[in-house]
Amino acid sequence: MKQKELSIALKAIVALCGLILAVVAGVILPTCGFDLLARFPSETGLIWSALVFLWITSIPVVIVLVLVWQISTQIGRNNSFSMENARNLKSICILSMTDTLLYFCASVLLLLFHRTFPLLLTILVLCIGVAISVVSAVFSHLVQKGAEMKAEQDLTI
Amino acid sequence: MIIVNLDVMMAKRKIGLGELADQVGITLANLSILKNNKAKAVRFSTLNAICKALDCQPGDLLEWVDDPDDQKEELL
Repeated sequence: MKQKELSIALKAIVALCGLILAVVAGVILPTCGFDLLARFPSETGLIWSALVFLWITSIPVVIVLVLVWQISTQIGRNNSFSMENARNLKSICILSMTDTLLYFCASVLLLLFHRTFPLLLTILVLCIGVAISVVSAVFSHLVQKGAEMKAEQDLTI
Repeated sequence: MIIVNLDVMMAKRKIGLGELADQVGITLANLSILKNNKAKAVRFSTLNAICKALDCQPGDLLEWVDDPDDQKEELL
C-alpha cells in the first residue's frame, strides 16, 4: 500500500471514529441519561455526574483523533519519521494515560460512595487505556530515533 | 572539524555548481549542502566522483581544523 493510500485510509478511519464519538456523546449518552433520570429520579446526582464525566473524558479522545489525523497527513507527505510525529505520539500516550487514570479514579469513587464497582468494565477500560499508552510511547521513541537517523541520512552526500 | 574547500577547487577549475552537480550525479541542493559545510557525512562514491570531475585529490577538498566546539561535544 502506498503512503498516499495509507494516509487516506487512516484519515477515513479517524473520520469514522470521530463520527461514532459524536453520535455516542451527542445522541446516545444524553438519550440514555435522560431515560435513566426518568426511571430513577432518586439517583439524579449520580446519573448527571456520570454523564458529565463521560463527556469530559471524551475530550482527550477528540484530541487524540486530531493528533492521529496530523500523523496521517505527515505520512501522506512521505514524512513518516519526523520529530512532529514523535511528539504527537507522545501526546497520545499522555492523553490515554490521563483518561485511564480518570476512569480508575471514578471507579474508586463509585466503590467508596455508592458501594458499586463495575469490575469488568473498569478492567476493560484500564487495559485498553494502558495498551494504547504503552504502544504510543514505544512508537514515539521509535519514530524519534527514525527521525534522527533520517536527518543524518539526509545530510549524507 | 572537517572543512570542505569545494569552492576553492571549483574556482581553480572554473566550473560552476550546476555543471559540477551534473558531472558528479548529485542534486544541486546536495552539492550546495556539501559546499556550505552543512553535510554530516560524505560517501566515498561521491568523493570519488567529485575528485574525478575536478581532477584533484581528496586532500585538496578536505581540510581538518581544530574546533573548540568539538571538544565541548566530546565533554558532553
